[in-house]
Amino acid sequence: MLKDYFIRRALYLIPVLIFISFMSFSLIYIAPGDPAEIMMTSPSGGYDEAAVEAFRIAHGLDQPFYIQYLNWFKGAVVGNFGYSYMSEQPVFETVLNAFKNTLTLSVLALVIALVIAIPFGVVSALKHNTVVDDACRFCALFGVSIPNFWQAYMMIILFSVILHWLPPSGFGHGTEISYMILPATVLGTGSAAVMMRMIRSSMLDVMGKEYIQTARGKGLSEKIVIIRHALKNALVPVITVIGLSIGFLLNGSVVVETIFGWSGIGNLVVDSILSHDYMMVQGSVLFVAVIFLLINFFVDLVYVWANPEIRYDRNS
Amino acid sequence: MSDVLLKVSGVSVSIPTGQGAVHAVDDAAFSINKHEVFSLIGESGSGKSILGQAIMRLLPPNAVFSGKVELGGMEISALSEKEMQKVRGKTVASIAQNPYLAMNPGIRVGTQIAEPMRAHLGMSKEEAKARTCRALKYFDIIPPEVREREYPFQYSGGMLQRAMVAMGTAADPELIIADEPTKGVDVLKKRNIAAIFQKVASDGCAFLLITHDVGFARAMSDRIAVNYCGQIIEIAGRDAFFKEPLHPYSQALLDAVPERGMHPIPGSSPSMIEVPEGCRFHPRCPYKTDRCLTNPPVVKLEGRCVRCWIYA
Amino acid sequence: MIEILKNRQIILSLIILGGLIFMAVFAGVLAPYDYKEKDLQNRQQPPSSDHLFGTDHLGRDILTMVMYGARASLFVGFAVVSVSLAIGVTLGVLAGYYGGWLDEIIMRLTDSFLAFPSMFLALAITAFLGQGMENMMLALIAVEWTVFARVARGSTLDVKTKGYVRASRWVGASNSYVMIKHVLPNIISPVLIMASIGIGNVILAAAGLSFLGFGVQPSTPEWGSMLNAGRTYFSTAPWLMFFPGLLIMMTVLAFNYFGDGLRDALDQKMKNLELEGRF
Repeated sequence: MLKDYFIRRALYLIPVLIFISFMSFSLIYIAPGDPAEIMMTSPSGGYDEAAVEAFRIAHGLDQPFYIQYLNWFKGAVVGNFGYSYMSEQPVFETVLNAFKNTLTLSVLALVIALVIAIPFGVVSALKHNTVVDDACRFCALFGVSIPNFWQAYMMIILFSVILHWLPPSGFGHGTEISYMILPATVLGTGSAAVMMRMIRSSMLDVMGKEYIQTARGKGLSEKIVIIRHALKNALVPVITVIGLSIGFLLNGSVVVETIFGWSGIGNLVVDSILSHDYMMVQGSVLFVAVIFLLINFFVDLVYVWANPEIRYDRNS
Repeated sequence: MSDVLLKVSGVSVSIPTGQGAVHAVDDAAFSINKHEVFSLIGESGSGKSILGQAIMRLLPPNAVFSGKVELGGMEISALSEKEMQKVRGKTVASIAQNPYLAMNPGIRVGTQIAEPMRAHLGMSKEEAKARTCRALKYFDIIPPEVREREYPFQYSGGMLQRAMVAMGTAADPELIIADEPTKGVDVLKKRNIAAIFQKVASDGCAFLLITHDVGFARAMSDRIAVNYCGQIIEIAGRDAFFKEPLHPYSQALLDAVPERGMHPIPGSSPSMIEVPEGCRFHPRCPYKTDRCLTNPPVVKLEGRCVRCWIYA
Repeated sequence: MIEILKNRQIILSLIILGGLIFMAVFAGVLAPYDYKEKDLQNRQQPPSSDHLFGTDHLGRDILTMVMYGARASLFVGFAVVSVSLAIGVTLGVLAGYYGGWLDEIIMRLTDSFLAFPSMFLALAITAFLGQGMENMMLALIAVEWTVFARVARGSTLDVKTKGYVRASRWVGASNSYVMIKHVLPNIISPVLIMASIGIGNVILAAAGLSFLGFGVQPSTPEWGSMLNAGRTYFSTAPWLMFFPGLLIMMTVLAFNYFGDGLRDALDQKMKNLELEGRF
C-alpha cells in the first residue's frame, strides 16, 4: 500500500530530524567565546558583568548543556525557536517571514529553470550526438560552473548599469516583479542546467524504448509520439530533480539575496552571522534543514505516486 | 483484380556501424497475397526483423534503404513520412515481440488500443472507447470496462499479449507484421499466441510472421520464406517446403529441429559485415563447388523459388 | 587507461587544468608584479598594456593577484576533496559491506548532513568556528564527505552481490581482503568522477564563502575575496570582479568537463548513476 510506504518513510525522518536539531543546537557550543559576553560587549570594548549575567539568565545560557538542548528542543517542536539576541523578536516568526520571501523568489526561479530546461533538454535528446546536442550539453556545464555571485554582478552591470532596464537591487515590498527578475534568473540558471541534463538523459532513455517504436507503428505523428508517449514518461524522473533543485535554490539564496538586498532567509542568515545573533542563525539553519527534508520527502512521495510501476513494485 | 497485398522487390538495407556497414537485408523480393499467412524464418540476427521495419518504414535513422515496397497497389516506399503515417496502423500494423516492452507503461491500456482508431478511423473518444471495450472482450480481456482503465503492469503476461494484438488490429489492418511472437515463450503460451493469431487470420487479415521458430511457422503459415545472412534463399508453399526443402541451408535448418534429431548446422553464421563472396552459405554447404563463389541465381520452379546453383 | 586518453573532452580539460596548475605553482615566476605591491598612484586602472587585467583599489595588479589566487583556490579544492574522499569512502564502504546497524547509523548520519542545504551548513559552521581559511575548509569537508559516502556505499552494495565476490567469501577470504581486492577497484571509477566534479564544486563554494567574507581573508590573494573587495567598485571598475570571476568559472568548468568526460569514457552504465554534486 502507498500508505504503508508513506508511514515507513515518515518514520525514517524521525532520527534524522532529531539529529539535525542536535547539530543545529550544538553549533553554538563550537563557537569560540561566550555569546553573552559578545552580545553585551559595548562598542568601546568593555562590558558590564551584571548585564552579561542577566543576558545569560534571560536566554537560559546559565543551565547545563543538555537542559538547554531539551528546553530548546521542546520549544522547537511547537515552533518556538527562542528569541533573537539582537531584536528580542521571536526567531520563528522572523525566519518564517524571511522564508516566505525566499519562497516567492524560488518559485519564480524554478519556473524560469523549467522553462529553459524542458525545451533544451528535449531538443538535446532528440538531436542526440549532433552539434546542437553538444552545444546544449556544453551550455549546461557552463550553467553549473558559473559562480552565481559573479553572474549576479555581471547581469547588474548589463541590465541595470548599462541598459537601465531593471533595478540593480532592492526588495520592492516583495511583490514588484521588476525587482525579482534578476535575482530569480541568477538563481534559476544553476537549476536549469542540472534539470536540462536530467531531462536530456531521461528523454534519451525513453526515446530508445520499444514502446516508442510501437507508437510510431500505430501511425501516430512524431509530434504526438514525442509529447504523449515520450515526454510524459521522461518527465517523471524530473520530479526528483525538483527536490534537488530546492537545495540548489536555497544554497543560491544565500549569495543572491545578499547581493540583491532581498529580505529572504539567505540574507537573514548572513546578517545574523555578521551581528553574532546566534539564536537567529541556529533557528534559520534548522528551519531550512527541516523544510528541505520535508520537501524532499514529499517529492519522493509524488514520484512514487506519479509512477504507477514503482507504486506497484513497492506494494508487492 | 490481383490478389497480391504486399509486394517487396529488390529491397536492400544496410546500417553503418563503427565496425563497418551491416548488410542486414540484401535484394529481398517476395509477395504476400490477401488473407495469406506468410512466414519469414531464419536464425536470430539474420536481418529478418530489419526487413519488417523496412516495410513499416521504421528503420533506424541512419539505415540506408533501397528497393520498392508496394502495399495494395500503392508504392509505400515512395510515400512521404506524413502519408506513411496514414498507412501505419491502418493498412499494415505491427505486433512486437515483448508486450512488456512494447506497451507504454505510463498510459492506460485502453487509451493505447484506442489510439489507432482515433488516428485512422476518425472516431470520437467515446466511440473509440466503446470499440476498445468490444475488442478487449473479443480477446477475452474481461471485464473490458475495468481492464480498459488499467495500466500494463496490472495485466498478466498472456493478457498483455492479447491486448497487444487488440492494439495491432484496432483499425482493421489488412496486414499484420509480427516480429518473433514466440521468442522466449513456453509451449503453452505459444499455443495461446497461435490461437489468437489464427483467430485474427480467420477474420481475413494477412500476416507476415517473422520467426526463428520453425514449428510455429509450420503450424501457422500458408507459405514460408527462409532467410540466411540477410538474403531470402528459398520461398515455397508450406507443405511443399516441409516435404522437400530445396536449398541446402533449408535442409540443414529442418534437420536441426528437435523432431528431426537436432543435427547442428556445421560452422557458424558469418558476420553480417563481411559476408562471404558468392553464395553466402557456401562455406558451410556440403554441396559446394567452384561456381558457388559467384552469386547464385534465383531459380523459379513451380510455385516456389530458390537461390542456389544446384537448381540452375 | 589508453581509451580514456583518446577522449577529446578529457584531453582538452586536462590541458586547461594543467595550465591552471602550472600558473598556480609558478605564479612567483610568471606574474608580472608582486602581489603585495601597492601602487596608490595607479588605483583602479582599466586594463592596459602595463596591467593586462587592470589594477584594484589599492593599485595592485589584477593579473598578478589572479595568478596567485589560483594557488588558494586549487589548494582548497584538492585538500577538501582529498579529506572528504578519505572519510566518505571509508564510511561508505563499511556501511555497504557490513550492512545492518552499522549501515543504518552511517546512512542516517549521512542523511542528517544531507538534510542541510550545503551552503547553509557550511555557512553555519564557518560562522560558529570563526572566519578563516582553515575553518572554511573544515566546513566544506563537513558538507562534501557525504557525496563520497553515498557513492561508495552504492557501488559496494552493487559489487557485493556479484558472483566472484560471493565466491571469494565462500573460499574463506577475509573481509579486509575482499574489500581491498574486490570492492575498492570497483568503486574507483565513480569516486574519481565525483572527485573531479567535487573539486569544481568546492572551489565554487569556497569562492562563494570568501565572497561573503567568511572564508579567505582579503590579505591573501584568492578569487572569491578579490570579488568581495571589488563589490564596492563594481559599477566604476567592473574589471575588478570580471577577471577573478572568469577564472573561477574556467576552473570549475574544466573540472566539470573533465568529470563529465570521465563519466562518458569510463563506463556506460555509470550514466545512470546519480552523480550530481552537493553544491
